Formats: sequence, C-alpha cells, structure tokens
Amino acid sequence: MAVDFENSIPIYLQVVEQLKSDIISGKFSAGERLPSVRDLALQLKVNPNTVQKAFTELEDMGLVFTERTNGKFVTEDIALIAKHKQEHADIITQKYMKTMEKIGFDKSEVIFLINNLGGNR
Amino acid sequence: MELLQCIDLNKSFGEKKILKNVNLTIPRGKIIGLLGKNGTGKTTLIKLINDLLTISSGQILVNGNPIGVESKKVISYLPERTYLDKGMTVEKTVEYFAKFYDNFDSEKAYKLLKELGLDTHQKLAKMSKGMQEKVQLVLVMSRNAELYILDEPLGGVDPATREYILDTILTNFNDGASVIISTHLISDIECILDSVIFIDNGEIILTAETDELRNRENASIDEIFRRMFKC
Amino acid sequence: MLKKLLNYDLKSIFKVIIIFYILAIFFGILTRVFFGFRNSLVLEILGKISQGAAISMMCSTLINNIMRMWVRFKAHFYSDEAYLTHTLPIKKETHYLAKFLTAIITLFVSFALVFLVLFTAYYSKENLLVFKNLLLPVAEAYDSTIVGLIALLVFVLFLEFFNILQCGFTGIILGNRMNNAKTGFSVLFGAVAFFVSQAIVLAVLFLIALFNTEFMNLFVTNTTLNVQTIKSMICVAISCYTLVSVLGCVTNIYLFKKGVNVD
Repeated sequence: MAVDFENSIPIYLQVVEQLKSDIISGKFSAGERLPSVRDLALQLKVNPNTVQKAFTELEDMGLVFTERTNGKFVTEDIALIAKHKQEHADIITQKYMKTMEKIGFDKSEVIFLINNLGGNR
Repeated sequence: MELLQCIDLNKSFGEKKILKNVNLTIPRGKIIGLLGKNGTGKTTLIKLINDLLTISSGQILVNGNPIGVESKKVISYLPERTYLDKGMTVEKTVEYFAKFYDNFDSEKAYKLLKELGLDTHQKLAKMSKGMQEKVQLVLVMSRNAELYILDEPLGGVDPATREYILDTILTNFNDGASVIISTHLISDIECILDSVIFIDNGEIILTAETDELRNRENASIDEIFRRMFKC
Repeated sequence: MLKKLLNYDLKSIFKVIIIFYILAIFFGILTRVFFGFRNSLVLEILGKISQGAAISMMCSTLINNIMRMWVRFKAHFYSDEAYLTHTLPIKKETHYLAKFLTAIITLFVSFALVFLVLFTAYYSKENLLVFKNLLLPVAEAYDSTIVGLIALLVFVLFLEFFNILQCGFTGIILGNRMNNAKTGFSVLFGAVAFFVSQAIVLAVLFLIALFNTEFMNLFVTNTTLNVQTIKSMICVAISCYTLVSVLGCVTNIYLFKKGVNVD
C-alpha cells in the first residue's frame, strides 16, 4: 500500500483520504480491525504521529472508533459508510462534470458518453 | 522536562561565529528535520550536543542536565563520517557497543545486519564506504535511546539505499523517542517529518510543524525552503 | 568502565609492540647462541650482528611503545574515532585514566622485556661477575647495594620515559585546542611541557639550595660533594620528579575535562 504523497498537501490529510477510500471501497470492511499506527506508518512510509493524526480525524468523522485495549476498528455503522461513499462519489462526479462543462458537454451528452463507454469496450 | 533544550547557544572558532544565539526545544516523540544548506551550522550544533565541541556561551540541557554521561546514555548519534575502528570486525564492533551502552540491543543489531546480508566476521576496513555507513546506522538504531541524532544520513546515497535508510529509521526508533535528522536533501524525507527547523548562517530562522507549514504556504517544505534561500 | 577501556587500550598497544618483543627476544637468543662458539670468525660476526639487532630492537620497543601511545591518544580522542569515544557514556577523567594506566602498564612490560632480552643474551656466571665488579665500587661509594643501585637507576629511567610520554599527552591536548596547525602545536606544546617539567625539578633543587649551603655547592662550586649530600639530593630530585609526573597527570585531566574540539 505504499502511496506516493504529494509534498505540498499536508500528509495527514492524504492519509485520511487514503484510509477513507479503503473503508468505503470495502478494503477495510465494517467492524474490521485496522492496522496499528506503527504498522501503518511503516507501510505508508510516514511518521507515526501523522497516522495518529489521520486516525483522530477519521474518528471525528465517525468512520473509526477506538477500543481501549484492542486498537482501532472501522465503524459498524454501515449507513454512515454508505453516506460517506455517496458523498465521495458526489464530489468526484461534480468535479468531472465541471471539467466536461468546460470543454462544452452538457449533462445529457455526458450521460450518453458514459453509456457508450460501456458499449465500446 | 523537555528532552533537549538549547538556550542562547553560541559557538565560535577564534573570531568566526558559527552559531549565534540558538534557542531550541526538542519535545519527545517527534521526528524533526534540521534543514539548512551545507556549512550553515547544522553539524556544529549537533557536535555541541554530542560533546564533540566546547560551548562558547549558553547552555544545552538534555532532560534538564548539562551534556555529560547522563546525556550520552540517552542520545544515539550517527555522525556524517565513518567513525568506527576499521581494524575491528563487525562482530567485535557490535560487542563494543554492547559493552559500553546499557541500552544497546545486540539481538536487534544482529537481526538488522543479517537483513543486510553481511558477513559479521569481516573487518570494517574491507567493506565499501556505503556498507560501513549502513553498519553504523544499524548500530545507532539498535540502541533504545530517547533521542536519535542523525547527521546527513542520506548524503550521497542511491535511491535504493535511501529507502533502506528511511525504513530502518522508521522501523527502529524507540517508542516515545525523538529523532533529529539533519539534511539538505529535503524532498526525500519531508513526508516523515513532524516538524522542521531551518538553520542558516548559524541562526535558527524558522521552526514549524510540517503539515501546518504546508497548509499555510500551500507548498511542499522543499519549495518553501528553496523560496526562503533562493538556492 | 575503566576496566573495559583499559582492556581495549592495552590490546591495541600490545598488538603492535608484540612484534618488537618477539624480534628482540629472537635476536637476544641468537646473540647468545652465536657467542657460544668462540672459535669461528663467521659465527662471531653473526653474533655481533645479532647483538646489534637485539639492541636496536630493544630501543625500538621503547620508542614504539611511546609513539603508539601518542598515536592511540590522538586517534582515540581527536580523530574520526573520537566521534565514538566522546559519545560513550564515560567521564572524561576515566578516559584519561585509562590512557594513563595503559602507559604505565605497557612501559612496565617493555622495561621487563628489555631485561629479559639482556638476561637471555648475556647471562653467564663470568659476565655477572664482571658486571658486579664494575658496579661494586660505585655502590660502595654511596654505601648502597648493587641491587639498590640498579633499582634506583631503573626507576629514574622509567620515570623519565613516563614523563616524556605524559608530556606528549599534554602536547596533544593543548595542540588540539588550537584552531589550526594542530599537529605542529602538539609537538611544540609537548616539548614545552617536557622542559617545564625539568625546569620545575631544577627550580625546586635550587630553592632548597638557597636555604641549605651543602646543596648550594652543587650550583656554585666544582668541589666534590660529600656522599650524604648527593644521596639526599638524589632523594629530593626523585621525589620531586615523581611529584611533577603526578602533577602532569592532574593538569592533563583538568585540561581534558574542559572538553575537546574534534574536527
């Protein structure tokens, strides 16, 4: 899971994004135990404090919770994960639409493109 | 009690002032980059902390004590040169460290040396400089220290070695310990740093948390450094 | 910690001078063997050669002993290796003391070796007799024994060698406090330290002489002094020299404790 980080953006935010996408994609499923701070830091090749900070951020979002002795787990609240997944998808779609609008496509044309994309494969 | 504190620290050689009024506090549990161009006082500061230079004026406190036996027990230092007795074998060198440092973990050292695929019966003199530097790093990181001070650990090494060095540092530093890494190659290590200290012309010109700094300046530490020093 | 340091220091010195020990003993034995045959010119020449070699090896042993100590002192405290030495959790005075004791022990062993070689090469009943007859009048003149005389001579010689060695340490410590030309200054300060140590002994003798007319005769007249005066003078001089050596050690520790500036 080594990730190339963009040095101009706070690293912990990038770790948050990385973990969030792992959770909503189901790579870490609901209720699953997450790797320890130290292990994750080694995998990602970042500072343990950065991972800790990212975990805190995810806990604030409610996606991760700490069991005092056992470590950190993905939330069991499937609805919450779904909500984050939806939000995430929305953000990406909005970005995509903006780009497409810039080069002169409207919504129906985009839908047409997407539908055709499947057909051309 | 702060782990390391420099108070109004000055160092001069004759008329030449190398460090000017350095005030610095290093907390526990952080990885800190000591960043500056070559010849700006990084190594001088590090040598002062390690009792290799005499202080001209000011104070250095480690856990509240001046530099001495107590500070040396908790600081594990990697100089920017090969400094071991080259007539000794790797095995003898490990033995030497184990004898003199109570917090040296021989098992860990042997494990790491084995990973390097090293013949421990070989004399240091017979090894390449790069290999000697790796052995030194292994020895330094095999101590359960409170403060690791690594002077230019990445100077002049290839990308694979760089990765090995960073991995070794990240994997092996003691829980709750701090690491000071001095370097002028910022982009290689900036993603593992908690905070940075910029030093130029013997003066500390900036200390900051890395992520805060990135947020504030909207740029990488490397870029910020270049902007500041126009190099 | 002192014991551990001493262990490494002794090994590092003996590792080198043991070669000279072996060679000296080897030539000592050869000398004896060749001198055993008195009727062959060739063997006698070989004997003379071995004798020369043995003597030069004995000198080399002592010279190398001192040089190795200086080299080790500099390497350990002021070169690349100093980066490890000074970051070990050991007090500066303990570091110095290890070198001090190493100097005494190695010099002692080297002295013993010189005697061993002399004994191997020359010991025989006749030679011993010649030697005794040579020393007896001197010993008797100072109403002492031969053994006492030899012991005194050896002690003074040992003290002298040790003082040279320690003045070298002083030179290295002071020389390395300079910002450049450290080696040059080391030699200079070492020589100065040696002359100062000699001057102190002489000055003390002179001071005593100011209050003691018997002693004063040493400085102002050519007349032979009486044996008792010479004896007490030797006593004073030797104790004074011993004291100066101890003082040198204390000074060195004091200077060394002030800290080092390693390049």
